[in-house]
Amino acid sequence: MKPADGFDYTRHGLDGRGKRLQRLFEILPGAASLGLLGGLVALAWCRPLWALVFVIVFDSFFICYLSYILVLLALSSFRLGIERHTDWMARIRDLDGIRKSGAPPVESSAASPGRRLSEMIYHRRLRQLRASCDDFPRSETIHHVVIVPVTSESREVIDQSLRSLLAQSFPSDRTMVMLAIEENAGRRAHKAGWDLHREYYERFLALYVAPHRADADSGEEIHRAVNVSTAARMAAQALRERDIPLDCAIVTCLEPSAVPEPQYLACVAWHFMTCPRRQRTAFQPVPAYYGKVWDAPDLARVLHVGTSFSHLIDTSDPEKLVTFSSHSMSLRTLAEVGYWPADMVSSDASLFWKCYLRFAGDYRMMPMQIPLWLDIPHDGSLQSAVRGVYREHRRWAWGIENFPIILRGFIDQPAIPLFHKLRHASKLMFNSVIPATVPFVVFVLGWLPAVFAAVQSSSSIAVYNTARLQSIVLGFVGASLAIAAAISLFLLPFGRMKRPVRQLGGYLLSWLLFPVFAILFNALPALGAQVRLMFGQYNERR
Amino acid sequence: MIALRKILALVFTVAFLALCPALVLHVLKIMRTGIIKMDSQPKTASVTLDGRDIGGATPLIIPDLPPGTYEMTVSAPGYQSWSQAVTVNQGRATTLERVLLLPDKPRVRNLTDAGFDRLISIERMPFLLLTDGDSAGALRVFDTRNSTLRPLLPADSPMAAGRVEDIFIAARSSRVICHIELNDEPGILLVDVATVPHRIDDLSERFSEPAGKVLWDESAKEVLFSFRDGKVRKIDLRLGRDDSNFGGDWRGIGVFNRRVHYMERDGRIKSMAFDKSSEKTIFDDPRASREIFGESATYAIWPLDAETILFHSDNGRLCQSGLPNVLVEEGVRGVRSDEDSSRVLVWTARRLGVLETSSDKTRGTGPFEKGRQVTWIFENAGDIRDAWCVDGGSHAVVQDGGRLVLLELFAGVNARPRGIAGAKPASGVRYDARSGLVHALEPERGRLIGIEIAPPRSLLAPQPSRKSP
Repeated sequence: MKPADGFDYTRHGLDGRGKRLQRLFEILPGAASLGLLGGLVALAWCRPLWALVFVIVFDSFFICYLSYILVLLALSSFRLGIERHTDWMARIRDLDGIRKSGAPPVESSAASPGRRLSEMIYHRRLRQLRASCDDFPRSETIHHVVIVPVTSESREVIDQSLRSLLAQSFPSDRTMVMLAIEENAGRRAHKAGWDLHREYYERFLALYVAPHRADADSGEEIHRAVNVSTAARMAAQALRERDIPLDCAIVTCLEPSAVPEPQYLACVAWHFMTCPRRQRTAFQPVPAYYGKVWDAPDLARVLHVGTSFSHLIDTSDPEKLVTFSSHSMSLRTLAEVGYWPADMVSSDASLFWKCYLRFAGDYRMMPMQIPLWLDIPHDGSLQSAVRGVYREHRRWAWGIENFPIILRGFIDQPAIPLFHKLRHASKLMFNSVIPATVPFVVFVLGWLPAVFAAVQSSSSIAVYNTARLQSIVLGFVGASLAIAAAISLFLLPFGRMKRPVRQLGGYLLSWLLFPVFAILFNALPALGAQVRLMFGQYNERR
Repeated sequence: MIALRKILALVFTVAFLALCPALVLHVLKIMRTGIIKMDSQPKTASVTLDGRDIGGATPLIIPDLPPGTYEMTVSAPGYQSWSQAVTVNQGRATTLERVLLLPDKPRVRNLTDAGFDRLISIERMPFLLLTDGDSAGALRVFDTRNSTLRPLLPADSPMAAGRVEDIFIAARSSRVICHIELNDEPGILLVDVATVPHRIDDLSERFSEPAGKVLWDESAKEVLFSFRDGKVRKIDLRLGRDDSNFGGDWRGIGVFNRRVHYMERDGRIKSMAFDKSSEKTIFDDPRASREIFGESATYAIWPLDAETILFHSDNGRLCQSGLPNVLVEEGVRGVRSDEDSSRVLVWTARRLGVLETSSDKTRGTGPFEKGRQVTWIFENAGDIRDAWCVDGGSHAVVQDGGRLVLLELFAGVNARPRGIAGAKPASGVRYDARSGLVHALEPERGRLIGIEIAPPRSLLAPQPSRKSP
């Protein structure tokens, strides 16, 4: 059924033209990535010199991009660091003060330079708010709806998450928790859910268990997106019954292993309150896999630190647009767009694009400088940690499923300016092709002109010059990894280390394997997802 | 933060737009240059090009050289400087695999007190046969591993008084077969020089007819073949059975890969298992064969590599199974392949050439490839008697009359001979890769000497060993 606003964010139920467009756009990323890699191989064989020029262009781009990323990483880490001890609840009270008296809070003289900078940024924001005359809601009207999707997690894991929600500086009597339990999660999970409901119901505004039953008739599958959508619908109903307006309710879908900092919900609320277009904005924290970080194997630790870095970099770029794990948004907006897309694996990114298309481009992501600690999934063994990481990256890589739908949406949505459509389409293409190809080109295929030139004639200087160029690039990659590893040392929770020397040594040595990780856990899943989509093989289950 | 990010994005975009064309132009520029890749023995030698110090030590790559010819000098303390004009071509790497610097005063070791007039080396074995006259009792075996000298036959052996008519050896075999005439009676002795005392088997009774030429494959050493007047006799030492009519009317024979390779009188070339269980035709065109091999010459046959067979006639014609079939029309005195490289030395009395067998160096660029050919690198010699690849195939030591000369094989036609010592004319020479010594007989007294021209193998990095065919 086509929604009233026109564009249906799904690949199902398309007419002839829609189907053709969908297939065309499904083929595009895979064809571009394979074309780039295959083209380079062919070029290296037929024209090693041209291939060398291509590799130079690619490598110089990579060097510039890596430098850019490193600077951003340093800046984002610094920005995250200076907000680490911010009392967001106090800032909410400041907003209430401004509402009552119109006077800004007195600027305090913070001790450390970082804190002083944080205060400076904060007061500049307050001045902007006062100057823009934007109205912001009263803090007592703000409510949080936290949805925790449960599949196979133990009661202890969920209990830890709930306790961290209770420990929030934001009043728990304005926080509603929804345990979204999948039908096939098993009796134990359901029992744990109901036990927790009894234990915690009174301690929050409410705690509901939202079991989801797949509706086979509607083709609905047992799926995280459908599961949390059911919970969000229940939460909306519960808030309406309490006469709480949905536009003041912030919905956050937290991973069960997430342990938010005590200031987390207050931080979300502050950003929500001060955002002029709060109903058209998603709020994104920095998901950081630093929970139980020293219990995980060294390799898994490096992989997750790398992932956390990419999230950290993304949060410095609102232009990156897409939301990912554990973002927050207005419940009213969520209800307005019909909740999470039911047939998408990458539900968070899909929801963002669904909103973007639904509101004709009037939807954005606002980064929040607060980490959300997530556990590294593992059972102690390296094998399970690596498998877990690979699965997770494969699921993220499947975000490519949004590409054809978004491009169809751009065609169907005349209200979005053409410039924005082209900009976002090229960015999407870039963000699809580059991660799937860069590690291959830089670490493997970049050597091909040398190898093929050597096969064809050992006396060609292309052999020597390619090797010289590649050694410069790899030297730069090595230096960049060393800088990244050094930055990561400022972010890791060293207090929880069990065997400091061994763990720290293992962690730093594991960075040497980063090129292998980049191919195995980034490029391969990304390329695999693109090729599968290219050949019309879909992955609609989690 | 957003503004900062935009500024950063702009800065890095500008950096990319500036860096990329500059890099591409630079690489295109350096692709129009050439490079010299070189190594030396000893390493860490200093290099000058046209008198300017390059600033590095060998092994090194000298990049970005405009095409042209440069005078290169390689020098190291305690060694003679090496100078040569080196040509650099556009887009190409000129490779000087290993410039061998000779010591200022090459050390010459006297290895025996007695003098000899001939040196016979057993290829790929640490033994030398030294003779002084025709007497069997005068034959000595020199073990290069421990520099010991032993008589081939014990003094009390009745055959020691005989005259040596012929000596047969095979590569990688410690067995020496001697044809000795004693009181006009032929005697055939098989001596294993690796055993102490030498194990001696008298095969005289097995060779009821004169032996002719004796051949064997070391991988099946219990089977011997004698070749005489086109007839081949098989002698099975283990079973004690002989086949006096193993082959007849043949004009060439080679024994390798556990098969007998032979050329029939009409020019057909075939191979046969030792037990005659299988036969394979290699070349079945008698007319073409006559054009290649001639009508009557007798050929020695042996493998060049896994695909190619070499044919060396008694009148010095050198042919191969691949194209071009005729490598040298006549006058080839000797052919020696190198264990450590893909090079084969070919020499006549007046010149020495190199046959490259690695596919990379022999492959042509078009549909009509030239194939393997002998490149003559040393011409106008006096009387070449023997030659050996030296130092991993980078050089060759050649006995030219009464002198020993060293040639750089990688320099190709530009190789310049350097004299390293004198040697007894026509006595033979041998290079021992394990010790880095050139063995020769000194000019006057004929004593065995060892000339140090390269460090012992134990001091060098492992050399790539050549796959045996």
